[in-house]
Amino acid sequence: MALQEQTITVAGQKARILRGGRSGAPAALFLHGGIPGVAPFCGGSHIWGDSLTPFMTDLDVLAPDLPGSGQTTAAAEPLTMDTLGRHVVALLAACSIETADVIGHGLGGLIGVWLALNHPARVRSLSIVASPMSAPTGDSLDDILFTAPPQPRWSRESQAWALERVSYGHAHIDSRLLDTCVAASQAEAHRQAVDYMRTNFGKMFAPSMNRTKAQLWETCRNAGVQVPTQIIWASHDPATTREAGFVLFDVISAKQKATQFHVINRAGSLLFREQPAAFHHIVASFGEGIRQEKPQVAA
Amino acid sequence: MNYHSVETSRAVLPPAKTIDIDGVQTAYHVAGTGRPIVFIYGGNFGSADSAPSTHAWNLNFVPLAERFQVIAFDKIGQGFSGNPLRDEDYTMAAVVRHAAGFMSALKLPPAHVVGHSRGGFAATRLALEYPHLIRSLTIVSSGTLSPRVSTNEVALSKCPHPSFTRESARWIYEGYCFSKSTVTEDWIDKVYEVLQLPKYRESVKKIVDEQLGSRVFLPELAKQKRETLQWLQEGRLQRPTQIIFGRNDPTVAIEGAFDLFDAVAAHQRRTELHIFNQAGHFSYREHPSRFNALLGDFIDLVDRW
Repeated sequence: MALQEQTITVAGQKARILRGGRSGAPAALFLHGGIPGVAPFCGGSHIWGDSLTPFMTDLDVLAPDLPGSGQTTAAAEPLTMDTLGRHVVALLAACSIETADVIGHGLGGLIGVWLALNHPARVRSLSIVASPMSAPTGDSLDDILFTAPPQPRWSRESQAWALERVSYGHAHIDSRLLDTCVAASQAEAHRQAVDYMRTNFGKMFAPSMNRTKAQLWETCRNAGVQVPTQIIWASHDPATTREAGFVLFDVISAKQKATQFHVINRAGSLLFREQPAAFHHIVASFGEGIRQEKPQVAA
Repeated sequence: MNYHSVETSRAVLPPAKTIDIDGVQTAYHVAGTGRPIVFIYGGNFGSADSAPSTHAWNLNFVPLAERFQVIAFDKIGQGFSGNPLRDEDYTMAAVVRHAAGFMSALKLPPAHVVGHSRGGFAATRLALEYPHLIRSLTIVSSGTLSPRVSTNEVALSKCPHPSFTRESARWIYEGYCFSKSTVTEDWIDKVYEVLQLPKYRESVKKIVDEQLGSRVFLPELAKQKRETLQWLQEGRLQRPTQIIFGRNDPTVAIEGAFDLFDAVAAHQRRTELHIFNQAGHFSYREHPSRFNALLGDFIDLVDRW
C-alpha cells in the first residue's frame, strides 16, 4: 500500500500532500528539502520515494509538497522561512493534527527547527536529517558542489547530475525519481519560485534562513529547544560534514535532555533513499522512545 | 516497536540458572521467546570497588523479553559465576572463550549480542572469532575497544570510601553516570551482594594482591586490543554493527565512537552510530525507553534482511 495523493485547502490555498498509514495513530510529518526555485533538483514529496512506506504500519504519515515545490504553489505573500513555517502550522490544523513527530530533510530540517522554536506544542519530536542549512557554518569553505550544472537547468540531465552530486551511490536515482523531478520542474509552483527567487533569494529568502538559525542559537543559549530532537547525518554526504551535524547536536543538547545524534553508513544527502531501513528504524524508535518517556522539558 | 518501561526496583530478572562451562559454574537468566539477544556487561573480575552482574541489564532485559528471547549471563570470574580455574586464565581471552562456550552450550541460533564497556570488547571479539554465533553486534560505550585515551583513572581513582562497601560502589557508579539519580538502591544492592561473595574476594586477591591484574590481565588485554583494532581496520568484522555512546561519559572520549564507526563502516554496510545526550557510561540505564526502542528496531531491521 502506498501513500495517497490528496489536494487540500491550507489557509485558502490549494496544497498537495501524500497521506496514509494508520488513522488515529500518532502523526509523522515529513518535510522535504530543496530551496524552491534554487535547488538544482526539484524538491517535493516525490523525493521520499518508497522510503515512507514502512512508517505506515504504526503512524499517520503526512508528506506535503511545500509551497513553491511539487504541486503546491506559494501564496501571494513573499516566500520566506516564516511563510513556509506558518503554512505547515496551517496544514496541521487543516488535517486536524494537534501534534506530530516532525522529520525534516535539508531545508525541511530548518522548517522543523522553525516549528520547534515557534510552535513547540505542535512538535512531539524533531528529526533533523542531513540538513547543512540547520548547522553552524562558521568561516566555511566556499560551496563548490553545484558550480557547473549541465544546461538547461532542471532538465532531466541536469537534475540527474545534481542528484548524483549529493549521493553516495547512484543506484537510487531511477527513472521514477527523474520522471517525478522533471514533472515538478514543469509545474506552476516551480516556475513561479524560479521567478521569485531570481530577485528575492538574496533579498528575502536567505535572510529569513539566517534569522531562523539565529533564533535557534539564541534559544540554545537560553531556555533551550523545548522539543526532543535528534540529528541524523549520513556517512558520505557531499553537501555537509559529519562535524557540522555533530556541532548542531552539541549545541541543541546543551539544554535539551532528549537529544540524539546518528550516522548512517553508505549514504549521501538522500539517506532515506539510499538506506531506507536504517532511516526508518532510527526515526521510528526515537518517536517510540519519546512516547514511552515522561514529557521532557528543557533541563 | 513499543516496550513497557519499568521501574528499576520492579524490573526483576527471573531466577538464575546455572550451567557448567568447561568446569566453571556459570549463572545466567533467560526470559521470553523468539530471536535471542545476549547481553554482556562490563568491568572485570577482581575489582574491589565495583562488581557488575546481570542486574546491570534489568531495565532492558525485562521490557525486551516481551518480544525476544533475552539472555544475560555472568562472565567468568564475575557476578555469580565461578572464577577462572588457572591463574593464566585471568585474561580477556578467557572471558571471550567462556562466553563462546556459554553461547554454544545454550545451542542458540546466531544471536544479537549487546556488549557494554569491557563487555563491548568481548562482544566484538566474539563476532571476530566466533562469527557463527553472532547475528548482529551492538557496542555500547566501550573505552576498552576505543583507540582513544580512556579517562577512567582520572574520573574514578582515589575512591574516598573503603573497598567492598556500598559507599565505594555508589561513588564509582555515580562517577560513571551523567545523573547521580541513575544509581539506584537496587543496583547497589546487587553490586554489594557480589562484593561479599567469598569467590569474588578470591578473585580480588588474585588480581590485586597477587598482581595478576598488572602482570597478566592488562598486558594481555593491551596485546589483544592492538590485534583487535588491526582486525577491524582489515574488515574482519562481518556482522551488522551499531555503536552507541553517551555524550557525557567521564571515562570514554566521544571521538572514539567516531573512530570505531569509521573502522567498521569502511567494510560493513549495516553500520550505525548513535549518541545519547545526558548519558554517561550507562546510556542503557539513563535512557532505557529510547535505548530499548533503538535496540529492538535495529534487531528487527537486521532480521528482516
